[in-house]
Amino acid sequence: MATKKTRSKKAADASASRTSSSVDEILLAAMERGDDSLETGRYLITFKEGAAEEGLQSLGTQGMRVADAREFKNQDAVLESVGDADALVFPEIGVALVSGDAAQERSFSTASEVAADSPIESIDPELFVFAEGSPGEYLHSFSAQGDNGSNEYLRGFIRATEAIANDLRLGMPAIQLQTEQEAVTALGSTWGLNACRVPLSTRHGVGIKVAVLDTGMDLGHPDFTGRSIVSQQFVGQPVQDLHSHGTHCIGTACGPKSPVGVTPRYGIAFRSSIFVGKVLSNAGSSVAGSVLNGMNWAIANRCAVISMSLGSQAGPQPYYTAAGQAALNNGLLIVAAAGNAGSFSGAPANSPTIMAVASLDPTLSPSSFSNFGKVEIAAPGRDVFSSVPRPTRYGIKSGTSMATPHVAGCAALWAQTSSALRGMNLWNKLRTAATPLPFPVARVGAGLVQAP
Amino acid sequence: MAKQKRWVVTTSGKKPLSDVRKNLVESGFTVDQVLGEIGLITGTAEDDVAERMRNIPGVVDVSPEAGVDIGPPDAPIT
Repeated sequence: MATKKTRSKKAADASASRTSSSVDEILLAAMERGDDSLETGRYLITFKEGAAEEGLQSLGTQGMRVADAREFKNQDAVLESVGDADALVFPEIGVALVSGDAAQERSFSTASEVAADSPIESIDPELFVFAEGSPGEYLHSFSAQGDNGSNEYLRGFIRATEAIANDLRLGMPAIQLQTEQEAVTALGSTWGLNACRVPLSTRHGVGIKVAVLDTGMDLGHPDFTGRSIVSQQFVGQPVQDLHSHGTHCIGTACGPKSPVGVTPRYGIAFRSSIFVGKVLSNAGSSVAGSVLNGMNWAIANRCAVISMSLGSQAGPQPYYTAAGQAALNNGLLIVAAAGNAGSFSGAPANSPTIMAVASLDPTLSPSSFSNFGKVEIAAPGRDVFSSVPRPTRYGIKSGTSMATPHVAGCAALWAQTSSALRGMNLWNKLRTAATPLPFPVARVGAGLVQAP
Repeated sequence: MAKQKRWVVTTSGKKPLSDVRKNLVESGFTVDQVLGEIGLITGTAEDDVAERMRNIPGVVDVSPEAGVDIGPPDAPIT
């Protein structure tokens, strides 16, 4: 048994120290290794200044298969895509990432003597990098919890990534997922877009600025290539979305008419200008001050539609009401998620100057989780297919968070039909154009939002 | 020592925001953000300072700053 265990450990190590290994694989191998090392098993070779080209050639002459970051557009080489290369060279910074196997075969180690005439400056083990804080801080906090602290952290990290993967790809029962996919394939659009009659609309939101205040966006998502995107962060983190919520919401409100590949249409205002306000951290949390800062920014930029799939189970907040009034005064409309507590609408949706959006199931009945009371309109919110950050690209989520960008997208289409449809006029138009539903107004407001 | 809390001050829009800000600072408010488009000022103060701020001309409301949370990426409903 011991032998078998050793073999599997070695196998895991080997598969995880390739240049193309995913962070998950490397973390898993580190966990199985069972030590507290922050080394990934790969090596970073730093070339001497001006010797990067020579260094690249020297790796080649040593029989390594070398990938060059310059072969990738914008040099944004994704490690997972370098295949079986032994080394990935970053010429701009004079560094090469070398797989554990390739380094071992050539007896590279940090203790290697580097000849004076070598283009190599130094060889160092690659280390893990964790968000918010230095490895030293992590080590310190874990050492206080016992020897297995790092392992527990890595285990938790992997559980989280697995849960995300399951949620996005595998979480739904196979039959249900198949039905969902058959539906979108047959009709060419998601159930939500069809319910809102988006595919029948000739509008696309050109010239309309749509702000989505959320966890940011995957700015390199292939479905948004060439789009007008203005972004700003308000939480001290880059706009790049490491959560997925923001990218999903932007996908519904502003995603493309024809996504890359055989993906169904999931986006509404496909020619709108996208304003990405990162007001929620990558952990999905924030404070009202950051959210208000983002609202102020969206209003200053005169975004005709401001979409907020966020909130808290609190009573109406005077400051959100003031922000909503400022938007209306400037001919802008804020739509917000009613909330998912199965209770009274939360803030900011419960402010009278902000349009509250409830969630509908594919049966067009109110979703069980959807808040009620102060509700202006309803939209598809259960099992919504949209964009998520690379490399996953697409995923299904549920919530009033998903219903809200359906209303935002339709609002952008209506705004395109007439320059008079702004602010309160746009609010009224969305409500009068909505399809009434046989449920209490407190659950669905004026009914199902419709595209022009 | 009383606890510093985060507050959001909503103004009437009838007085210049800079004047309101000045009065808030004088009463002991530590200003964090002045959001001109929406007439709000955020910052920190102790409870008794916040209570006094409610009487400053141009101030409509002083409310504690609420948190916002949409849950982790794998939340089933967001």
